[in-house]
Amino acid sequence: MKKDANFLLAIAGTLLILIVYPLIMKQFFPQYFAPPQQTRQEDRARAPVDEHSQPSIQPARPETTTYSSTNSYVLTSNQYQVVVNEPAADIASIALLQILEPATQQPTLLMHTDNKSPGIFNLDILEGILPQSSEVLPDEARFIYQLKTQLTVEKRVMLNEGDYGLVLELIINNPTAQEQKLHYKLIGATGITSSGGISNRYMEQTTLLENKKIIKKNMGSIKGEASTPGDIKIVGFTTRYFALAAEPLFKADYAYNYKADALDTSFRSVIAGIGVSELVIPANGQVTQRIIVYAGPATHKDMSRLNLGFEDLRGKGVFAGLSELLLMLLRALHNIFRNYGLAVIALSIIINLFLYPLTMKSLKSMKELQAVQPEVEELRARYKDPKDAQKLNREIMELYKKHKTNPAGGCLPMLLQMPVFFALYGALMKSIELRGAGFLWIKDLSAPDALFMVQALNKMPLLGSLTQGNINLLPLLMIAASFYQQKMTTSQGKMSEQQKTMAIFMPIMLGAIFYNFPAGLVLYFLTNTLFSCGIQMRITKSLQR
Amino acid sequence: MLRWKKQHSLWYQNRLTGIIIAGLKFYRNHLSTLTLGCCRFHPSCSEYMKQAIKTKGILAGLGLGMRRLLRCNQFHAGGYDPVE
Repeated sequence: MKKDANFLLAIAGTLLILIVYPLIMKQFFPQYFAPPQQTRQEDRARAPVDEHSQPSIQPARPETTTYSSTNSYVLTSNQYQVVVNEPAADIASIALLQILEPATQQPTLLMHTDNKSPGIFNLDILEGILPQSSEVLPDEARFIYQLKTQLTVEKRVMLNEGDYGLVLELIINNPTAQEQKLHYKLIGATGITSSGGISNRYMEQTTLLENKKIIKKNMGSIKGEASTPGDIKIVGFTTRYFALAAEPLFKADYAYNYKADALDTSFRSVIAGIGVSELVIPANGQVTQRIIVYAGPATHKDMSRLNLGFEDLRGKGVFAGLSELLLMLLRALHNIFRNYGLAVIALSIIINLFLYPLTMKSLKSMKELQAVQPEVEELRARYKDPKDAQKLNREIMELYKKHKTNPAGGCLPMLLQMPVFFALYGALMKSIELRGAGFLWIKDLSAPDALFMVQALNKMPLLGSLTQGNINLLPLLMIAASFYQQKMTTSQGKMSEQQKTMAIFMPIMLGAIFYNFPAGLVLYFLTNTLFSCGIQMRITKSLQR
Repeated sequence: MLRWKKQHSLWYQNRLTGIIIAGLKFYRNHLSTLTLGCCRFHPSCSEYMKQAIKTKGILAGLGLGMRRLLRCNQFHAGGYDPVE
């Protein structure tokens, strides 16, 4: 009876969480629930752009910056299409030409600022600037302007050929006969886009210090300005699949981040940058500073190619190594089957083959189990009183031990499945290879397989928040399969009432948990369940013989 | 000074034991419904680990529990196996 109460309590608790959690989250993190942004193709199609036709251009931080751009230019390389504004040479958008958006088959727009906020490489020392000259090549832009203090600032944006890197160069010239001191802030990363939904959870701002310290923040939590003093190595963002980060090749004194437009519910106006407290420019001399920007997929392979430590941006989770291993296996299987859905099914088969000796062992002991069954019944009759449940269990276990048989599979095989499961989840959530990988009716294995949408379902109180109005076929199939499996297992031995209720509720609970999981993960679980069903059938058949 | 340190570490040990046992209890009461009696032993692996930690201390208890989990597969007969 007490267990029953506990069981009901567990269900009530789960339901409560399912209902209340989204409401709380909506209250505190509205940006997570904002609809995914439309990527604005037109933003980078114009070159150069006449900004006068644009709606009001407001300075983002009027107290420090007078932000205005006159023209935009497009730079292109194999990897990139980059829009650079004149004269501040700040980068307004970066599109990755090699990586297509799965839905639209258009180049992925990694970052783009709206015209209200400054872009990457923006300096806050633009007061009273006088543009002097500009030079734009296909993959390089150079702008020179003069400050009120007679200093000339030369900014160059160069695209690396062959890897995901941009070189930003800042040359400050002092033509006067006096030494000048300067302090400035530079934007290292901004304008990053999210594809919305579950991806919003993976928007992270990372600051790496030279002393290996890592400061990670959820981008949704960034509002007011926060600064981190210290020897800054890298500052930037990681999303589910991409990284956008800047590494100064000189000594930066602090890193900072803030949200430029508080009303913007997206992540695009979040800014991360570095600051230099005191830069001394000698009389009649010049200072050159370089910043390398990584803008590309957040894969170890690509990030480590620059040899600058960008690969440290992706934190090491508990299952990160395992995920990497699993991904290698999936890649190999993909090479054979040419489809990631088939690869996931093959993975499930491989894991089950590993566990095959264990399964065979329990198959073999089934005969003995049947022989023991009358004795078990006898014991059950003897200890009918619920008080004796412990004693009954013990006696039954003793009996099984004596006959060297056991109906249960054991905790170890179950436990062995767990790391595989977590690793697969990690791989599906963060691997760009699996983005937009289709299989049968599933458009994207890394997202729920939303087959179609039912508006009426969305309006229902409990199911609405769980399903978001989407009908996901795969989890439903999974519920059916595990229901069938439960039925087969429970029909074998006698079960208590409580276990029978569990056998009904378990598949439903599992389905609710899995409903919004990536389709690949559900596919893996479904294949596993079907496997166990097959084994169970073999057991029943061998028992009937 | 030494005695103070000993007491201090004991305090932490007790808290840690409490946390681990609470976790095991939570699993037994709420999550073990999902595994639906897969264990080949009596007492079950989670119960065994709880008892082992209670009687033998954290490290020895966890060790015993791990050993038990490793044994809990089709190559072992299972059966009645209490913490000695």
